[in-house]
Amino acid sequence: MNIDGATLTSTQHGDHVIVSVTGELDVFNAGRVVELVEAAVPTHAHGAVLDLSGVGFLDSTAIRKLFALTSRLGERRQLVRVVTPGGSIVLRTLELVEFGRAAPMHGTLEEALAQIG
Amino acid sequence: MRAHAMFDTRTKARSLAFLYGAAALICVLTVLLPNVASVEERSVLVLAALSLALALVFLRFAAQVSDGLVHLALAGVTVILSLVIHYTHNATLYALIYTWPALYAFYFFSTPAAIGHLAIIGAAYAIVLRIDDTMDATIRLVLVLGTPLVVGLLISRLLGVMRATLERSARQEQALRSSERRTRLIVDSARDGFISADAQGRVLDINAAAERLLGRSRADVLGRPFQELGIPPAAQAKFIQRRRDLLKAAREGGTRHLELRVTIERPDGTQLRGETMIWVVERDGEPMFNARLTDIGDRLAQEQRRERLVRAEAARAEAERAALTIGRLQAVADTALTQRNLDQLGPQILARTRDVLDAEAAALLLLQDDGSLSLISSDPVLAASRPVVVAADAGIAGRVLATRRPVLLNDPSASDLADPSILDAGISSMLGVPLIAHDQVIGVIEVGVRAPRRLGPEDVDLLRLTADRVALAIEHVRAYGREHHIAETLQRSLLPQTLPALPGVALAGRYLPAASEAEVGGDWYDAIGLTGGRVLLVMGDVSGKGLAAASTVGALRSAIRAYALEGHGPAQIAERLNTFVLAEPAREHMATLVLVVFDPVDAEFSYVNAGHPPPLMLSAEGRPQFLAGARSVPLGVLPFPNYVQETVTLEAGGAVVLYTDGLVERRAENIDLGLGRLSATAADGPLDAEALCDRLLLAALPSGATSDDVALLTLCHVPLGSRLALDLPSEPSALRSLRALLRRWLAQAEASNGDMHAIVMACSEACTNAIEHAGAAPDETIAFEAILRDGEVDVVVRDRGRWREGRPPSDQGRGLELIDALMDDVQLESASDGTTLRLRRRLTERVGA
Repeated sequence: MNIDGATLTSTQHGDHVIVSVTGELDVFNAGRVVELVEAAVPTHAHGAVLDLSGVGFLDSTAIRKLFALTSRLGERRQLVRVVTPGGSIVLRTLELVEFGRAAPMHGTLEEALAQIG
Repeated sequence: MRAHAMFDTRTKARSLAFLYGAAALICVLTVLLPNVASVEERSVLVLAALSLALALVFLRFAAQVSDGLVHLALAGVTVILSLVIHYTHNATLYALIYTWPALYAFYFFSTPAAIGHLAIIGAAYAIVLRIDDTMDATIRLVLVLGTPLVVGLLISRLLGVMRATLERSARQEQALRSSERRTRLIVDSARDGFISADAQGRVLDINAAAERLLGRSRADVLGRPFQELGIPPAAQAKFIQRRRDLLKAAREGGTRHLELRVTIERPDGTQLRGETMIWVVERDGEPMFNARLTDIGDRLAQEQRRERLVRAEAARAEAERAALTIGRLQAVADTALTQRNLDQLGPQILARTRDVLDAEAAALLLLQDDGSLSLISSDPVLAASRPVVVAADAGIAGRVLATRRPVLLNDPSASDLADPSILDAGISSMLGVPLIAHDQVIGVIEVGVRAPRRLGPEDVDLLRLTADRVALAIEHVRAYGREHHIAETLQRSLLPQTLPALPGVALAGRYLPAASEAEVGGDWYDAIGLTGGRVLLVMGDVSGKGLAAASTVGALRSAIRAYALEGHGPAQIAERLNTFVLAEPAREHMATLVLVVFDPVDAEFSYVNAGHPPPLMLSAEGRPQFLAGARSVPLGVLPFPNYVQETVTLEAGGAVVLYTDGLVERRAENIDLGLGRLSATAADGPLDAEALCDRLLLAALPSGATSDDVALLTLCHVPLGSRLALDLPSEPSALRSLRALLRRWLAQAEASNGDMHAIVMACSEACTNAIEHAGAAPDETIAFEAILRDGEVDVVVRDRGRWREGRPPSDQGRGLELIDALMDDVQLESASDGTTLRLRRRLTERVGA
């Protein structure tokens, strides 16, 4: 699914859902992308892995929407794990706003899945 | 045919009545005339009465009598005559009256029947002679046998001769009739009509052809006067007179025939144009007319054709004489077709005017805006010392101008002339006529001839005709000049005054109108900056020339700009343009064009080609390659042309050349040669947009004059430089493009990943804010500028809006917080006409840089 320069795919992994996003997230598409991520995670799922390895840019609006996503899923007792490769621009951005306080961050998808067990 | 068969029973009965009448008369005469006493008068009178009664009966009932009764009655005559002889006692004398029944018998009956009656007569006489025994036996025998025999034989012989004559004449008549039938067949099958008429002109007979020619049947015309059979009433009296004259002449031994042309009006309304020959013949001593009627309609038509031909021949000879003059006149008018300006037109007009009038000198003066006459051109003879500007009231030209009429001067005096020196040149007769265009005098044309020739009225007419054409030629040239000027101005106004200055793109364009004599063409190019630093390039060629083509270019140009602003790609724009062109069939123009969108960020070059020469792409090393893909038909030829674009990558440092066919086409040269020359020249030198243009034009058009107009546009994909400036529209793709452009620019400046991330993020946030400030107006753009100076990046983001109230302050704050965190210095200037955000960050020093 293409949303103004971003694409989104989701796969089932046991009790968890893996949602992968690629492209750039900014003021024009972040709202819709995050809504679709939330919709991809059913209420019965234990949690979700949000793979941002393919994302090249996040602006402040996208960051705000991601914060809101983690808190909404948290209300449903669903934990979101975020995958961002080390040294990537996205990681830098998320580090800048201390996103790690809202969701656990992982360098790779395997690392995140290993944590789920 | 037998004679007795010629008589019917009724005729025989009547003749029998006369026979009885004669018998009665004999009886009466015998009693009345002096006679011998031996006559028994009472008995004779009784016989007379009986005979008369029978005569009356046969006369009255002649129609009812049968042949048998006729024979019986004839025998009765013989009996009565025998009784008369008996009662007169004069057998010798009265024997003669036996000739009557004998004669009758031979005349009316066949010979055997007649002989039968002779036998009856002989027997009756024999009885009479026996009773009246007054003579000796020998005489009696001779009389009894001799009388009927002699009488019968004589009469029989006589009648035989008569009958033979009758039969011969019957045969002759039959032969004549069959001959007539044959003649009639011949006459009827004739193509000509034959009519015979009596001396009074009443028709006796006509043949089939005459029936056809007259349009009337034979029964219809027989007995009617000839003139009533279609001769128009007005001509009838004359026809009758001529017929009478002919008859008179024939009687007096003069001419016996007459030939006439006649027009016959048929009853069905059609007309016969005929020729008739009438001749007088005698029949039975009476004059009569025979006439032959011939249809000469075809012949007349032929004669008329021949006559027309003769007349046409004469007219042609006359026309050829006139054509020579007209040809010379036409040559005057034609000068306008070959010349485009008055300076060149003038001398040619004068030379041809001298040809027309066979004059020694000529001059052309045109009225100027200030009312003076300006000498445009003249012969040396008339221009000896003539001022270039002539006062409008001086000389012949002045008088022509004042009166608007021709002025003819023979043996002019010095005071008549604005320039008396022409008298020295021997000019003795001068003529000037006004040049009139659109009912306005636009100038004067003059001619002069040397003595002894005098210009006359026919020269005035001829010069007037010439002047008409000269005026037309001048108007034509002036109108052409006006139109050419307008079209060229219009076309130049349709070319971009300046090409957009976009990061990563260097553009150069050239337009060369065709050489001055030719019309302005329909070539044009355009370059339009799109969002995110992309650029739309247009290279097009509208068929046709002049104002119409230029105005079509204007329409297409506007349409392309409108479609481009709507965000359509090349193929979509081409599809819409095609619909646009087809929707205006009145223009009747076809257009070829190449549409390109180049995005310098990802170096994607997307193009569509509507029947245009292919773009030429050059690699950074200068390797040329024609972009032959994405080809389809020209605009305006098919309702659904299906334009499909193609995308290639234009490497950094590479270039693309767009052009019109004027650049590569030369007369009588294969276009492949022109294309080869183009690619060779393009590759042979630096890939700089301006230099490329100059090089290509110089190579293609060494003389600088073109027969067709030429448009040329070059695009070079260049390094971005130290300044990056562009206008951002408020649309989703804009920020993405900006970030991509910024990354490329920073990469070129060798910024570190950290610097790049920080600056891209900050600029994106700043522009997001600016777009939101810009307010409701969607066409508002954000001015973005980034400058690299002394290892420092300065960014200015300017919008025309105000800080909006609606957005939660925390969001703005987060954006600004981020920017603050990423940049070394942030300044916000808010004013009534907009907001300006200035950012600055020093790039990290790189080791070894």
